[in-house]
Amino acid sequence: MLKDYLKGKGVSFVEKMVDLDDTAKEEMSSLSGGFLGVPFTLISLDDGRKESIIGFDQGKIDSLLNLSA
Amino acid sequence: MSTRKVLLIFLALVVIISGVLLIRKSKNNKVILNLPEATPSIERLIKEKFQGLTIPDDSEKIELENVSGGEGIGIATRSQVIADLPSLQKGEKYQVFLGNGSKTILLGNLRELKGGYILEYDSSKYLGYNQIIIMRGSQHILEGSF
Repeated sequence: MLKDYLKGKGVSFVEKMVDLDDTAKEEMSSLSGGFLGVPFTLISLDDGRKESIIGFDQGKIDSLLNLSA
Repeated sequence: MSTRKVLLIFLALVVIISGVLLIRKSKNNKVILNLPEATPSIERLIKEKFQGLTIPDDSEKIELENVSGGEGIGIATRSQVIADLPSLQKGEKYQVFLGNGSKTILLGNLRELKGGYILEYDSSKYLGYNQIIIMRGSQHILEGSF
C-alpha cells in the first residue's frame, strides 16, 4: 500500500526488511520508541531534518514531501 | 417501705433500663450493605453505542484495553474491530495493527460509524496474528490479544 503509493507519486525510497536486518530493526526501534510495526517510514528532508511515520499516514507523507493529493 | 417493695422497684428499674438499652442498640445495628454496582461490560457499552450492530454471541471476541490513559474502549472479533474513541483532529487516523509475536503489521484505518469507529477485516489472511493494537500517530491507544 505504502510502496505502491510512493511509486505512484514517483518518490524514490530504500526498502529495509526489519525482520531480516537487525541493524535496520535497531534503527527503527530507536526512532519509533520501540514499536516495530510496519510499515514504518523515515523521511530525510532537504534541510537535513528526519521525520518518521508509523503506519501509512498519507496526509503526513504528502505534507512532508509536498505531494499533491 | 418493705424490703420486698424496694426489691420490686429495683427489679422494675433494671427491666426498664435494660429494655431502653436493647432498643437503642438494635437501632444502632443497622445492616448497611455496600454492594458494588455491576460494571457494565465493554461489550454491552459497545452494543449500546452502536445500536443495531450485531456481534454474534458465539464469535471469538476480546475486549481491548485502553493503554493511553485517556478515554476509549474497544472490542475485536476475528472479523471486526469496533471502538468508541475520542474524535480525531483533521488529518489524524486511528490505525489498527496486527501482531503475531514477532511481526506487527498495519491492518488498516478505523472508519467512523455511528459516532464510533470500526474496521472490518478477513482474519483468514492473517493466521497467527492474535494481537490487536490501535494507534493514533505514535501513541498506543487500545490493545488486546485473542
